[in-house]
Amino acid sequence: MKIDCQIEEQKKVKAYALEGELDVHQAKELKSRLAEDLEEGAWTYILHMDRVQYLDSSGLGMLVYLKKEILRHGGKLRIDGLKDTVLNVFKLTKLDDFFELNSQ
Amino acid sequence: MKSKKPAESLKAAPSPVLVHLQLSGDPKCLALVRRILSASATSFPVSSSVLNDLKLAVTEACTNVIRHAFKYDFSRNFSLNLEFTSNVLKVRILYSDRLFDPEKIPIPDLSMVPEGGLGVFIIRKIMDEVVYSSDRETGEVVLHMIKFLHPTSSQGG
Repeated sequence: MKIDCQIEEQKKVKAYALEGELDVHQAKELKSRLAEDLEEGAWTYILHMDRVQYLDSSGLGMLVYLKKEILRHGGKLRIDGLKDTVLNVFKLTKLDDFFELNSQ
Repeated sequence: MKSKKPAESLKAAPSPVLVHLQLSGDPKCLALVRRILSASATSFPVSSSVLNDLKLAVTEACTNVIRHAFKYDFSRNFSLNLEFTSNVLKVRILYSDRLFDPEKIPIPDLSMVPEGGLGVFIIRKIMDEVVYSSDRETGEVVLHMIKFLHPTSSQGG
């Protein structure tokens, strides 16, 4: 999985452009990378997923974990640019309400 | 009356596509499975929505084998058999897991926003038939799944 990160320290925003397929193989890599980046305080984490072609329950579980961790640290998570096929997995599992999602 | 040319006959009734794969417990094989599904479906008029659902359900099933039965042991192998016809995809996954009990597959409580345990839930949402069978003596587990490729209102999907 390709991960590009941009940080705006003053605004307390970390934005990640993700590219690839979020299955169990890639989700483990992304989970450890993002967990390392978490900071205490009101940081906003944005995942740009317009180049994520595939997501399954492993990727979704990782995102649930990540959001819970971000909330625990006092921050928030936004997910942008979801393709319909990926958004469908959130809806199928009724997790679309748990996340702040923006589709393409 | 002119007889049909062989090419036209083939176009009218495409032969089933049979795929038999022996896969290792390496999660890297999951992307390959999705590409094989896409390639296998090219002979049939399957909508992109149904194809995406198939890729999701089959990946979930293979992930469960790799994660729960094999515990990421790359030295172990399982079989994935696909049979595409113009109307239906039949999937059969065979592996060994002496501890597996189909009766004990947990049902996730979606209100608790679970981090795991959603794989079989997704499979059952997508596929039209899902049957696990296991032999307690040999430890052989077989997962049969069927998906109708052109769902009508009565078939769900």
